[in-house]
Amino acid sequence: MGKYKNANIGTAREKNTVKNNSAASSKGSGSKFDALIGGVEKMLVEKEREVLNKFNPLIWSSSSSSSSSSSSSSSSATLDNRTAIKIAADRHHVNIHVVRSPLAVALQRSQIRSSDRKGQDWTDSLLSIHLSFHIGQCIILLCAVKLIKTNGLLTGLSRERQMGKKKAEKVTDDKVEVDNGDHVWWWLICRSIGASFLCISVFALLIRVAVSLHPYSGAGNPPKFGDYEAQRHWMEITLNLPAKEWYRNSTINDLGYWGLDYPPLTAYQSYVHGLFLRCFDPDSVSLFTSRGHETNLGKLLMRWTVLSSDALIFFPAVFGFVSVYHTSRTSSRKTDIVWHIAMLLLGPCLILIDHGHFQYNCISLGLTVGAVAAILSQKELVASVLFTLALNHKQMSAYFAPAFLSHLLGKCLRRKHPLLEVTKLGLVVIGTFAVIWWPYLHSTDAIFEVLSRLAPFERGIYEDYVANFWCTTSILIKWKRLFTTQTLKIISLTATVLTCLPSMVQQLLAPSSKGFLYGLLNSSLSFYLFSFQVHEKSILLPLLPASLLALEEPRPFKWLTHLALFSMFPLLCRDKLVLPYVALYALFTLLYHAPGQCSGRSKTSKTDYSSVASNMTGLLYLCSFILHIVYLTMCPPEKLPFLFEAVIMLLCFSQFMLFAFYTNAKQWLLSKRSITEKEKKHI
Amino acid sequence: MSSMEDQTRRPNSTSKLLLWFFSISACLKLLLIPSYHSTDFEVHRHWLALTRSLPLSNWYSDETSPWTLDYPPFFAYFERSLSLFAHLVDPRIVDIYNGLEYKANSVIYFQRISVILSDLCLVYGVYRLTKNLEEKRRDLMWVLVVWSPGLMIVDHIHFQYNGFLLGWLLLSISCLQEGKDLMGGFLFAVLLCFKHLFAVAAPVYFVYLLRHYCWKGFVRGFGRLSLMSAVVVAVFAAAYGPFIYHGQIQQIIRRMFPFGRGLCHAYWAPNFWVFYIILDKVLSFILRRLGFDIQIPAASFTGGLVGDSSPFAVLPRVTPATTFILVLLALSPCLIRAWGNPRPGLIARWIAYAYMCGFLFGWHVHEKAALHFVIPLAIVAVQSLEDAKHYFMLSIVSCYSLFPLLYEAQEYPIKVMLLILHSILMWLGFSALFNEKSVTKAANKKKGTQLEVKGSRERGTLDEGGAMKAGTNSFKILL
Repeated sequence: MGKYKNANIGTAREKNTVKNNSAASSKGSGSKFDALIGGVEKMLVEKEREVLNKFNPLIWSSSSSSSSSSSSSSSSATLDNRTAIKIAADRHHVNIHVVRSPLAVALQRSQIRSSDRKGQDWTDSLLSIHLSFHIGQCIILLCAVKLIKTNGLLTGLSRERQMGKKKAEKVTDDKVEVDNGDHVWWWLICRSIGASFLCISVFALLIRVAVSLHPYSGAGNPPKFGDYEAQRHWMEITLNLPAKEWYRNSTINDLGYWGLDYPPLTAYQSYVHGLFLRCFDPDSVSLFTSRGHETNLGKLLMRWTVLSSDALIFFPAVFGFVSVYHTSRTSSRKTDIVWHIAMLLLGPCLILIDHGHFQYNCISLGLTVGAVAAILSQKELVASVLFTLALNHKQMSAYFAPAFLSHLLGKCLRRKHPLLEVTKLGLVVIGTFAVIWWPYLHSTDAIFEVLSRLAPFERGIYEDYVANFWCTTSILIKWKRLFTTQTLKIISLTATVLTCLPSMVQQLLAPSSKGFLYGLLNSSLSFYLFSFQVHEKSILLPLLPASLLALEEPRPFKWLTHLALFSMFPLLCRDKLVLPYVALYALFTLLYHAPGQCSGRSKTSKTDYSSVASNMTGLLYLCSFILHIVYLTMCPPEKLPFLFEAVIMLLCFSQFMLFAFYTNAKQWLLSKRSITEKEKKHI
Repeated sequence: MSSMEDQTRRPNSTSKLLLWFFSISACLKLLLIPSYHSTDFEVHRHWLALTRSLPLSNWYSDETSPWTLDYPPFFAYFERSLSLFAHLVDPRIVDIYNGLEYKANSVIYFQRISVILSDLCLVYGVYRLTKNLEEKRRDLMWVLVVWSPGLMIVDHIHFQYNGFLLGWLLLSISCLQEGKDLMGGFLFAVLLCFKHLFAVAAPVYFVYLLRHYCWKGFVRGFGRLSLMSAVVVAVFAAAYGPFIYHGQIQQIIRRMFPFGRGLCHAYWAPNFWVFYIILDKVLSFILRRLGFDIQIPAASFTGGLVGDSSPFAVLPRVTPATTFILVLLALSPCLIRAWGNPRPGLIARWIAYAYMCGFLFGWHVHEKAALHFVIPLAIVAVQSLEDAKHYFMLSIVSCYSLFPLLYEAQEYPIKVMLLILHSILMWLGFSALFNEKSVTKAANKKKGTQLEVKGSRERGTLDEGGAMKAGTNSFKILL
């Protein structure tokens, strides 16, 4: 009898939670009923938000309730192991569905494993939970039916349309003409660009989640682990120490073990993510004791921090860029816009590095994309703030600085009061810097402390086998032996500036949006090829403007993506990410060659390429394919253990150099073309 | 319209687009390889080992592992053919003793990739089905079937071969729709020998084939009837013959129909019996409160196993026969329709309906059985707005009902994302398909009278909803 009572209390409790849930969702949709935001997706989006918004109080209530009941049941009669496991499994799924929060389950798993013994009365209370689950399902079903009927979901519109109305519809409705390619994609592009973007971004998120199932860098590889451990360690440091200590070597902060070497914005980001981790898994960020902390829950939470930053920063930035970029373009077909979104959001390199290898490039790159969008829409001040933020998240964003500098300067000089404009921009940049560096502004020592962490010159001019000038030529010229670090610094700086100069001059003379995008590409490429201490992963930076230019330069873009992936192949192999590498590369190729897409594109680009060039690229594709296979299957000779890496590096470097020449020439031709057009107009 | 042009460019580019859809999903499936897999993974691995290392006569009597073979013989042959390759990949996969609970990468990759490749059967099925369809409906159906979130969850995360089996079903339906009844019946018989749970649609097949294929005068009809039955018997003989020869047939039947397993599966499928059990619980609770002496049943529903005692406190016990009769009763309207007017165009609808009845009233139904009606229903969904609405709701709910299969936190975002993506795709696709049609129709209707209204509507100034309503009305009138 007593047992049964227990069960009934359980039912009542669970029913309450279910009711709360459904009430909340129906209230949410009810208030905006008239605004035609609704339908089932609305509920689903809410649910997704619930997942992302991990500070749901329900988690705590459920976990505490189940833990109390498990302790009460552990004293009663025992079942055999298999039933216990089954019950545990049942409990998992019930919890997920009643509370709809994965974290509760994750938190409980450890408890369940520890308490294997279950009482007979558990089955009954489980039954009641089951019942409430199904009642919940029925309620949701009914809600769905009602919403569909009243809202007329198929006829009704949801907020994407409103979003689209604001931003993109005016872009597309006026200019986009229906073309041959469109009728393959009619189902994707029938509505506004906003809806298509939503669809692609959900798919992109899905791909990111799937990639995040795979191992991260340095998984199970003590004592130093990898980038994952570095990020986790930063969370630990920023969470437990005051801001002044973050960059200072002391007894409590050993900078030798993954010391913080990114600017303060990264530290703040680590702090916020650390707070999130501490909520659910305090062990993973506790000072000292958490070194090398590797658990499934920790991995999951860390992965979700990257996912959320991607979804909150990179995705909106891309949406902003696409809507601005295609307003200014005169000949965008809707299909092309959708294709461009897919290329931007499903770039394999960024996904592999952020969600496989584990880093937060999406934040700095997203901020850069936002800055580019702001520049294209003539909002220079917003652009400079966003770019300063990007710069303060990763100092590597400085690869883009020459382009921003020259473009903004070139623009300002053409205005009425050039000096005023420049000071305005300068003040905004300095102000942003001041806000971010506030904890370190009290003394010059503190500033230099941070700065010395940001520029690790002692690590040498190159590391590993990166496909840039210094590393490749070191096969012939031993730079490290011939020169001191000091001279190398100066040499590399001059080389970088010299190679940047042409594109900067072009932007100063004739600033234009298109030229600016080429300028970004050129300056980041020259930094990648010639600057000091470049990492393989830095190829992400030149890749970004290349993907922004994907519609202008489809083939070079594809070629660069291929090479960038290839240049990171040894790194990703070490991280055991070969499977996602293959899958994402295939996905990229498929999306690039989406049917109904390339017919128009290849026609225009075929004129640029002679048959010799296409034969050459075919040959190079074959080479790289063979190299992939060789790298995976064969052992290098003992005397030359890094033979294959060197070959890959050589191949990539030669292509990157060619690419840099090509894009520089392209940028200069742009201004020439505009000049000739002007002349024509004059005539 | 451009339909003439479509006709000419169809054969080459269509299959290309379909393959493109398939490859995109294959990329995602590859990425999902390291995700959680259920005990079904070990079940199928054990079947590989079992069919490889034991003689045919022992397949159904072996008890090395608790995961005994309980699918019909064709599936066992299928596993046997897979095991030939598995042996080449890693001999331990097919080792019946050392392979137990084998979790190396080799076996995971092999089995996962075998599911991905066997999905080609589904792709061919849907290709055949849509060969003669209008382009837009065809594209949409491909999206719905090839990118089905349910299949992704059940086959590629949870682990099963449903895509392959549903491919056979779609092939059979496509044959029936083209009027190739004999072939359709043959394929369905083959399907039954792969997985007997598909037998729920057998009454529909029986009535339809009898009326549409065999009802052609006495002599000719009898000839056709005997031909059809000969084909079916031949298929069953090929499947079960060797086992009858070894005297294993009773053992097979015992394995395939484990009625002792109880009314509901351990994870309840959201069907009619849930309400029945709830009612029983509520009644017993109320009656006990009122002072009646009611025994609490010892058996539980969640355990999945029920002994001899009735699991119900108040309501009468449900036996397999009851469920069988209920399914038949629920099916009867459709059977009567099929008897009265056997139209090939409606067969997909009937089959989907039959599986739905089986799902709602069947004995020991898995929630995975929801796929059996969601996939064929996609064929129906693209036919009219009304059907699309039904499909929209049903597929969302059935996908949601699959959520308990993946209970680990790691897969939580995946299943939510799959469902959201699916609903967005459906919303985009259906609204594009039916909106455009209705707009053109509404425009045609009003062409003569209100030119200026039509113009403004085409410019998009009128609310789309209004246009849509007008469109559906005209659609109904036209029907």
